Amino acid sequence: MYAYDQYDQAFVEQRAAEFREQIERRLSGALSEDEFKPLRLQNGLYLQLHAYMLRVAIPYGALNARQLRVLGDLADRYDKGYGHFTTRQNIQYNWTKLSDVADMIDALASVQMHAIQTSGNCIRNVTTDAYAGVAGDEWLDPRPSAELLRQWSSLHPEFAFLPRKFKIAVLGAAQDRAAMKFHDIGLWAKLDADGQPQYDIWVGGGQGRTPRVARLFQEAVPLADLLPTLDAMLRVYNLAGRRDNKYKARIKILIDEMGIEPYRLAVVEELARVDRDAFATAVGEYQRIAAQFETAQRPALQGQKVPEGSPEFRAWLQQNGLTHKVNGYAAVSVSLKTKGAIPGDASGAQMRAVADLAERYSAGEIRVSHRQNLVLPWVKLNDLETLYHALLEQDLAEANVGLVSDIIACPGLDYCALATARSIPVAQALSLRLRERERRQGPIEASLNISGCINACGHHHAANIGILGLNRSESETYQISLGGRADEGAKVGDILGPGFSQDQVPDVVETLLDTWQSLREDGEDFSQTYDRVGKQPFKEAVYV
Amino acid sequence: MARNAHAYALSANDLLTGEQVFWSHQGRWCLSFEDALFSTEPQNLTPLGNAEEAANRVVGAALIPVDENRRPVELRDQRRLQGVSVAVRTTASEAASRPSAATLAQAA
Ligand code: HEM
Ligand code: SF4
Repeated sequence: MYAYDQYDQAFVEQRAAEFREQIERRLSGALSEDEFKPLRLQNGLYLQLHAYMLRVAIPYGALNARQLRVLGDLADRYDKGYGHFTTRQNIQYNWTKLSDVADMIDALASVQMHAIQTSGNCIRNVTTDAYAGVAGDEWLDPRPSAELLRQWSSLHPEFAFLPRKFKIAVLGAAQDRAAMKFHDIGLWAKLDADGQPQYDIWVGGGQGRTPRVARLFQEAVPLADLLPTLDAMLRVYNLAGRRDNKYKARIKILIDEMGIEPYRLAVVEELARVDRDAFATAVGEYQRIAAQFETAQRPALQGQKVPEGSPEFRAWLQQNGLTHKVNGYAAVSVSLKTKGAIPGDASGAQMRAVADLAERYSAGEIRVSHRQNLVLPWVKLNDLETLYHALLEQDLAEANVGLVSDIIACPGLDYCALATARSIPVAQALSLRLRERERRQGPIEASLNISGCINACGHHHAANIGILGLNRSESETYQISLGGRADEGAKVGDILGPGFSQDQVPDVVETLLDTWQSLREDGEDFSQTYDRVGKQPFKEAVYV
Repeated sequence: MARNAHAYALSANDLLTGEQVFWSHQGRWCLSFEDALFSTEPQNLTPLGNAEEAANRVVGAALIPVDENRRPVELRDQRRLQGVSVAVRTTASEAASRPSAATLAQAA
């Protein structure tokens, strides 16, 4: 893993001290809320319905055991015993007291963590594949690129007040496991003929009220040109992006309005003005970072074999395991979607238990996935069954990663001040129902995502079955969309029709699954069937 | 004026804890909606909320429109009053000190 140098550590500590002082001034009344709000948002502190919420950055979703242990301790000490892992690979604490925040941030700084740029109109936490560095289908480890971007974007003086928030994802594998095309900028890292990194750059993806799949901006950008190109892309957006209407302020709208070609030309012009010397050290820095990640890679192991184990163990491994790029290892997902659970929530005890298991069985490493699960990336094949039993004890061995019961959900109207409907109870009811269906039918490979308002934090647009909670005539109604997907073939789902009440949702979802299963042809996934037959048969089935 | 609003209560979040609080008959913030003051004249409550914010006791002061039965008209307010839909324990620091104490005492 990447380890902070003295510069990183000093920066995080200085920022923690600064924010402590700002909080003290707020509590003493020296700062008004209007003055304090931009300061707290720059440090990831929101005000929700019942409490403050602290969003902690997990750069590219990578954690070591010490860090996860501290996250667990924060949950127990300052929250109500749990934290919520998000689709942006961060963690949120929903019950934070203003007077505790400075101590929380000090504890984070002690393990090289922080909450900077987890809010506000800046470049947010850079995300990536949760299986980075270990996936069997990987061309290039995306983490050095993500770390380079973290360093470039942290407190970038020009990009602290963009027209709107800005989200970047980096991939380095054949399969998109990070919803890359739903980001403001997506980078698909590959190797050139000489084995050097190069990037396909995608731009203008996003969700919210105007969902867009990113468009290809440029192929095969060499590493040396990456930061100058991104700088130019952001400068054009910073100048031309709309600031008059926050719903039209994302780069996707600029590209809709301007057109991708004129945007590309504007970036080329801007690139001619970019001071290339300012980026002279980037390639060397990339190599330094990449070397750190490489040393942490493990050599192939001989004599490792997956234990025979019980049928339950084998089903778990089949579902939650991923082929590793290094012989002798497997990468496994730890599902945070146990039957009836709140998607993405983990208790302090569970976080500490996973930290212990990571130390014992996964080279001390943990990842957070965009589907709100955890990943143990370095498990020796011989250890798999022992690990499985240890996870079972913590209620963390649900064999459903990538299945329809592996639901993504945002906090919704239980916590979020912007919400129009609850999403947690809907997710819980569906989890019970769908886990039961999977028990009867075996694995059901489809995605189901829920958002509590049009902001789409729960990725409902990008799911095979998307559920959006709305507030209509003083009660919740849930609008269903179908056919979305977040992988390489990213697509925005189509709205099915009028919404349903909370009680109706589980039956409706089961009817949709029945319909798909009755129409699917050999080996088709949900999207393939949907693309072939269209919306009509699903509509007819649910609006009888 | 909110649709179907018969009267209004004044709510806010406690500055220190973020907990939802209500302006009460006693002329101070309270934790229970049961004890909230209801007024048919929102123009009287709004300046009060602003003053309490300016005094740095609360944030996010806002009116809750209610019907004849003192039931919030808006879904968001109804759900907020119900609290979270899952069982949650108190925080360790809550156990040590009542969260809104500072606010309640200062405003008294
Ligand atoms: C409770 C506090 C939260 C607030 C106030 C909030 C606010 C927002 C807003 C306003 C947008 C729409 C941005 C736009 O369209 O320009 C958005 C999008 C998004 N948020 Fe959140 N969010 C919150 C929690 C979360 C959580 C818990 C997650 C992860 C589960 C999350 C992940 C995302 C994602 C993935 C998007 C869509 C991607 C995009 O920006 O286009 N947010 N959020
Ligand atoms: S989708 Fe809406 S309700 Fe859900 S977290 Fe985002 S802003 Fe809140």
